[in-house]
Amino acid sequence: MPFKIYYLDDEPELLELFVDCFSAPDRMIKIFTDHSAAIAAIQELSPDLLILDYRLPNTTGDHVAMSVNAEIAKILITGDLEVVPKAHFLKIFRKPYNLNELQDFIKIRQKNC
Amino acid sequence: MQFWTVAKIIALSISLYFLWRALKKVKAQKDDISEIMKLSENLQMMTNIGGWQVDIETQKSIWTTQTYKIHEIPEGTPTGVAMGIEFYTGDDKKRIDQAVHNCILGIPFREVLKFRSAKGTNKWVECAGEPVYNNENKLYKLRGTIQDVTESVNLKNQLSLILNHSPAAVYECLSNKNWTMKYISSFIEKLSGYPSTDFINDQVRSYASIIHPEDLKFVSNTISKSIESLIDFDINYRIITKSGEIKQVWERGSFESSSGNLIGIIFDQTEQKSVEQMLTESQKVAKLGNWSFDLKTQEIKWSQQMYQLFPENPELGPPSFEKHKSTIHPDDQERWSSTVNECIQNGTPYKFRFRVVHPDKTVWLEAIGKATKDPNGNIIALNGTGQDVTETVQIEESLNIQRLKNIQTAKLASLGEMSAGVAHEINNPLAIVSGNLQILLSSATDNEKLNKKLEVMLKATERIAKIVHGLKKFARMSDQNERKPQLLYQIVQETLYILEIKAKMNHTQLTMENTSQSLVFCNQLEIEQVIINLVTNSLDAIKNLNEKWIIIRIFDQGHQVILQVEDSGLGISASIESKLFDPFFTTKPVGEGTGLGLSITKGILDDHKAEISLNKSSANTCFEIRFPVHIDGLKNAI
Repeated sequence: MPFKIYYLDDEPELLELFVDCFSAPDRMIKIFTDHSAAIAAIQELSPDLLILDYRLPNTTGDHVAMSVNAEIAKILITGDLEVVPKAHFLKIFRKPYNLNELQDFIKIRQKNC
Repeated sequence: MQFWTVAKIIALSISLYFLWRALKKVKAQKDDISEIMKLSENLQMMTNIGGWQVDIETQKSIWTTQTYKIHEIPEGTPTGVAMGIEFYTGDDKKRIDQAVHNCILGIPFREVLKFRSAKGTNKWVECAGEPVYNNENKLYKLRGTIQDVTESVNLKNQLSLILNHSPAAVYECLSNKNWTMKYISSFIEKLSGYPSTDFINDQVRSYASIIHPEDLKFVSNTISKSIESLIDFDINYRIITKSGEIKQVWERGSFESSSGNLIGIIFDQTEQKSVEQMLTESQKVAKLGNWSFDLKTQEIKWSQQMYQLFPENPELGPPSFEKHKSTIHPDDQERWSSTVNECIQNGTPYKFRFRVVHPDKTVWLEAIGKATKDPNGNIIALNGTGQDVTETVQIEESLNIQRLKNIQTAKLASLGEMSAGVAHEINNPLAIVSGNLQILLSSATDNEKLNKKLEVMLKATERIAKIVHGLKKFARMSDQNERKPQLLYQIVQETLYILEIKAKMNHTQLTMENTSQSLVFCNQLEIEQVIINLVTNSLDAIKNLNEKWIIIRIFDQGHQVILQVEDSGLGISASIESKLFDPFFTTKPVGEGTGLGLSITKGILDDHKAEISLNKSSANTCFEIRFPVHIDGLKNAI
């Protein structure tokens, strides 16, 4: 069973970078620029890890996190200086983030899953 | 016979001659008596005095013409004692009856009585009578006068009414040591509690006895001098009333050399004195004094409070105009002179503030002045008030600084909102660049030159990220805008992200040295603003120097945390040192500085009970701030 990672960000280049960097045979990565599409996909099949950008068109990653199953593991990525989310996130990464740090975090999460 | 006949005729003739002469003399005497009677009647008519006489034995009365006129009955009407008494009204009928009875017993009388004439005219008459004795010392008649005194009694009553309702005691007294009263109006009872009759002829007490013992000698001396010089006296002293109350009185009087008596008037000044005292007290509380300046004599008159406002000795009296001017702060003298002169020349009223230099302090005064003119419109004097407004000025300055701080805070809040948006917009593309660089670097390549350039680019993105992170300090969070125990060096570090950019642009070396481990109870944002203000001032001050550096030092000293901002400048001249923290004071060119930075800084530090000063022991320019260590700060370091 591949480790399912869904990533929602309004920057397609970052999504593309993520796919390039984090794709692996034992992972299934789905990327979204539109939050509605992401929520629909989550409701259809829950991911093992949901990565959400904070500032999104017409909403925030925090709102999206609160509108999906609370048991889904989530991390928040943000370019904002200060963010105090209401939803529970395993970790908050700040842009520009270090790819190795993110990779290490995902590996540990995947291993424990 | 012939001879005897002739002799008889001659004798008869002589007798007839002497008889004729005697008769002529009698006639002349009768004419004289008639003239005297006529004169007497005229006199009686003019003085409104009539005469009367009663024969004790026959009870027959004789009235003069004027007596008939006073009674308004036809002259010659038969009269008698009983009839005469009937003209008196009310109790006065008994009084005159008793008086006549007493007169028969040998006691003369003189009474002023109510009287109604035969025609019903109400009058006041003064009736006097005396017993008349014959050669054998036996009473044989009563004789007297009756005078119509209606006019004088009415006048006297009116005068008495006026005097009794006058808010002063009018008196006539002897010029002896007791000032024995011949008359004193009824107001004395209101004033002293003793009836006026007590004082008449010192019947119960003398007026001197109610004068305050401490004032008696002074009063006596003043009146004696007045008697000697024949100049009216004017005197303030105290009396002790029946109830023991001490009252302040003002007396004005004069010596009448014709009678040898003193006449005068005594006013109750207690209320006025009390009002004066209240006014003095009010002026003291309000720190307000009043003054006048006579242009002709150049004399200044001051109320007591003015001596508190100016460094003058009350015992020496108000100063001269020139000496007065010299106590005004040098920076305010020109404005003071021009304002006062404008009032003297053109009568322009003024209201302005200036400083007065005392040996131990400087006081802000608000002066109000206006010109007084004579009937021809010439300015003859100035008068007005002066009030100590030092506290008001300090409060106004403090409010002004607070207002400026609020403006600054609002500006920074806007900047904070903008920074948050800008940070996000930069960080997103930066993440793309940084991410791709990381991928490229992680891909194994032999091209070292390429790898090195990729690393440089990655470090550049990190620098950009660091700068953007520095904007965080402007994106104010609520918890940053409250006071809490904090380490100063952490606050300084936050500001350095921003200040380093400006320092690099100015080619200035900006460093921080910290050895402090103590906490300071402070508002992070406000202290950041203090550091930004000081470092920005330093950067501006040294930008044209060859050697440019700024060191921020933080260290503990006793129960204080010291923060020094020292730059490579050569200090601040003594002439401007005292004005450094004044609002709107700046040495920067017009348009480059508002002059608010250091005054805001001082305002913030005052709020933190921290002191800022210029460290004169440094060879360079060094501002030093002393923060009190937070109460648990010594133990709670890091």
